[in-house]
Amino acid sequence: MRLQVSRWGALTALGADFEAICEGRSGFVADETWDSAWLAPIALRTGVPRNLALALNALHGLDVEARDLAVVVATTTGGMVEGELAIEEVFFGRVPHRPPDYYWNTLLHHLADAIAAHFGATGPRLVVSTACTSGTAAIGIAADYVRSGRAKRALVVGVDALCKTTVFGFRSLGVYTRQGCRPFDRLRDGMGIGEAAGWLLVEPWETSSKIELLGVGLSSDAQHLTAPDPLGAGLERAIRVALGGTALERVDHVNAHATGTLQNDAAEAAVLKRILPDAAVSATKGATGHTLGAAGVIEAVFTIESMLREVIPPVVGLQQPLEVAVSDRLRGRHQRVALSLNLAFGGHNAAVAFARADR
Amino acid sequence: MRVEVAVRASSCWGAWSQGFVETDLGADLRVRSGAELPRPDRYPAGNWRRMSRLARLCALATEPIISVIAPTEIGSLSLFFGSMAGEYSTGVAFLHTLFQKGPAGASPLLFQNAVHNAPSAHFTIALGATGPVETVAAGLDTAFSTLERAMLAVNLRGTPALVVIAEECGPEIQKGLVFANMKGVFTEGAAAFLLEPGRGLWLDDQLKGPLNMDEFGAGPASDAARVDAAVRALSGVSGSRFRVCAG
Repeated sequence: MRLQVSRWGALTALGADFEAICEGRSGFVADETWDSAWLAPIALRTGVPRNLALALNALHGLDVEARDLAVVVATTTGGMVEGELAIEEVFFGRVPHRPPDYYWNTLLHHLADAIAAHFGATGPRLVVSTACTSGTAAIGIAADYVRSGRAKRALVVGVDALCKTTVFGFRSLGVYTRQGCRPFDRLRDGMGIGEAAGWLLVEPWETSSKIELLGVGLSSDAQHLTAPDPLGAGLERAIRVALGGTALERVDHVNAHATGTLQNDAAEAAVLKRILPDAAVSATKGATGHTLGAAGVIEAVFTIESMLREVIPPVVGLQQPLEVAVSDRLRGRHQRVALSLNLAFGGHNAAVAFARADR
Repeated sequence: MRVEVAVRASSCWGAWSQGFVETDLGADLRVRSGAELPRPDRYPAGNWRRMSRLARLCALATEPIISVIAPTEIGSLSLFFGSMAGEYSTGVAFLHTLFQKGPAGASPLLFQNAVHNAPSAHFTIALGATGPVETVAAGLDTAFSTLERAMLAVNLRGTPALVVIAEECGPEIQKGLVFANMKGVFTEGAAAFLLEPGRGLWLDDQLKGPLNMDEFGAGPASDAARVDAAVRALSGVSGSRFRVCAG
């Protein structure tokens, strides 16, 4: 069964407009309340848990048929923003003043339940949390729900809010940037965490469809808990699975994971140089920060927008490129097929492939 | 929609409260986790020490199944890991190091083990499994939603899948569940299935909406027996009900 992505949206530190990404703006700001980490908090006014607030703000205005609608949510933190407050209260001996459902809402699944309830969705619901490949994996699960007939359509939501666990966790690993994220730059020094929410609606193909979801590929390196395979063999397998029968030569654009860490960018560059030397490469984490569970979804949205607008967003922070085809131009070509890539803790790799219907 | 797969093997570890010396949640929540878990030879001692309790539970549940996976299948094996609370306890432990020692003292080991997919990562490294991995959660329906997700994938991909469902359910989770007025006894444990294309375990033709185990059926008798043992374990893990039909 052919599938389409019929509608999509993303909310990042730069707002909900793709123009900001195309203009090369950055959402990174210095925030002393987080011990001078580089953060990009999004202003929200709401009384619900922050991850849910981010998701509902991104989904604002979406009208979708709820019958047999599947909801697949990608997140790494769930309700941990609020959970941290409660854990801190208990740790320092204070009496927690929280409603009874507070702890329950800190777990991962509450996001899928709440979003499904918001739309009245009657299909299956699931949270996928495979670290930074969560968003791309969620697109694959959504595709399978629709292909198998388990759902008529599937809403994929990727969301992760800033929290102490991720910011100070990545700092403890020594991979947090001091200067701001610089994807594929020779002087890169690490990632910076951002927060975001994005969504896609996956449906069966129609004659009026514009964007085809060609496929999703997942793989594991089976080598190391946090570091990628330097040769990127697993990432290459994921790319080939995502493309299915589509030739590598038809790929015109790759939105890379490109976290700005030494190891990730080197491994990814090795794969791109080896199998996709002619594709234009974009990387958006210099603008949005690494949004973890949301990254796969918002970067899929950026990839689709990029295809439809025939633009390749500039790589914010890039000054001295690695030996990889990072490019802000298509050399006169149209974007027929584009890939979005993600790598994750656990040695997990993910790729999603899209095609323009009219190319 | 009818989805059907074969169950080549199943196993479980420690469901029904093994590892807890007290589960009287009406008392003062003095739930002490765990008996020490034996290390399978597959896991070097150094790696085992660095694994969380949840990851060890997963390793122990999958160990009896690994012998029926052919070496030629390892590369295409899909892994589906489901857990409601996942590494919540490890996440709490990480935050304690942060609160106690400040950012410079936060534990990188606890952080890398706190992600939901850490147990599956340890497993793929130990087995050399390079296929797709999905780690999911669906509240009290986690066991069944994970199983359903894997069944769809086996049907669509035509390759075997290993399904692992596990809950550590340490004191932090117990406190939270009680605070949320959840009823029942939630215990630690893990169960694993090896699914492959074929017949034996199916999803109902009319399946709609959030999954309930009532929509599962299993047969013939040999498959029903395999599913029955592991599903009973899952029921203990997730607190959900189930029904298995021998046909």
